[in-house]
Amino acid sequence: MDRPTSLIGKTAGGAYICTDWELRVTARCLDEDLNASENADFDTILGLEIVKAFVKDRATQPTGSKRINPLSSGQEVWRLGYGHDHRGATFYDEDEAVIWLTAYGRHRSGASDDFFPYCKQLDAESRLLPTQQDIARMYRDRDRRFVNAVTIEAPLALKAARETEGEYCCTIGGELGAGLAIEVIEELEATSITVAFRPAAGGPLTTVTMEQGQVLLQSLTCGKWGMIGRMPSRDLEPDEVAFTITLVAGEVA
Amino acid sequence: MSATTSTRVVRVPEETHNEATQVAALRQVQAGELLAEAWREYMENHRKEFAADLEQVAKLLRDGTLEQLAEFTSRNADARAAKAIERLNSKRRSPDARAEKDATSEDSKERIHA
Repeated sequence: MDRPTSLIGKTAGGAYICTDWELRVTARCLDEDLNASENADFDTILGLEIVKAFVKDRATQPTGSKRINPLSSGQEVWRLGYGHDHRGATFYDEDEAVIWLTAYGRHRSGASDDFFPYCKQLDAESRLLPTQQDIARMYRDRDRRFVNAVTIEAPLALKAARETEGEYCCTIGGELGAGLAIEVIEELEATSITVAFRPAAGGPLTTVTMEQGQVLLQSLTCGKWGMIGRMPSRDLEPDEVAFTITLVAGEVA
Repeated sequence: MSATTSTRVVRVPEETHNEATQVAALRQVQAGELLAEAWREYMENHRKEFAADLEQVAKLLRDGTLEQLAEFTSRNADARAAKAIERLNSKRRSPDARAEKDATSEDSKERIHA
């Protein structure tokens, strides 16, 4: 996934970046439970006790020891506790490598506003789990991080590839595992650049978008890239896609 | 497609398979050959679209801001998020599995009661 190492342990937009996942808070929880803007950046809520507990407990462990159940949604939601009565609910989406804080409240046994009945009510109303808008915001944050990183890293990768014999492999934007091969075609006074990329964290190619690939290609060198079925020295892996461009002498950045 | 071309298996919707098989039979070719031809047509039809997107990215890199480039990258964020929600919904545990797991939690005194 898109977690440049320089961001680990830091906030970035609506996320707190951990080694293997990111922490986020749903818009509903931000607005209704934490009294923050539903688009609040993570650094603006870091001072809240339950958010401190969220970071402390979930930065290294994706789930807690106690589930909140039964829930009509059928999803696994985990209890997060801080102090005597601060309680939160967290949801781990392993496929997206994200842990959501989905609700916060005070635990007062028997009280009408006790956290656990509140949590179940939210679940019954289909308001406990992250929504499409929450996930879309996560994607936008990730794409912003990717773009910021790729525009810096791609030219460096291209330079390294030109100094490497054979294929140069690297991770770009924390998200794309890329193999770059540069060939000089002397008779045409041209240079061919071929790039194969795949998700840096493994998994299916569906976790990479065409737009990310296009930004990578044009950040390497602007021009008319075309899809290709193999790298110069090897076949593609099943989770790879490759593109190539041929530039006349002097056009390579 | 020549007889020596290597082939790979891909799953297609049954309806697509049936229609491709029927049309291929009428044209006296293999269904796979027909699908390969359809794929070449798809690539040809989308080449201009792909090139236009690349040109847009190049323009944003040249004249735009990183924020605009990020907006382009996220242009399908809502559709991707809708698919993610579908995936999450499909992963809901069945009531039977849920009951079994909840009972396990209750036994281990980890259940949180309302």
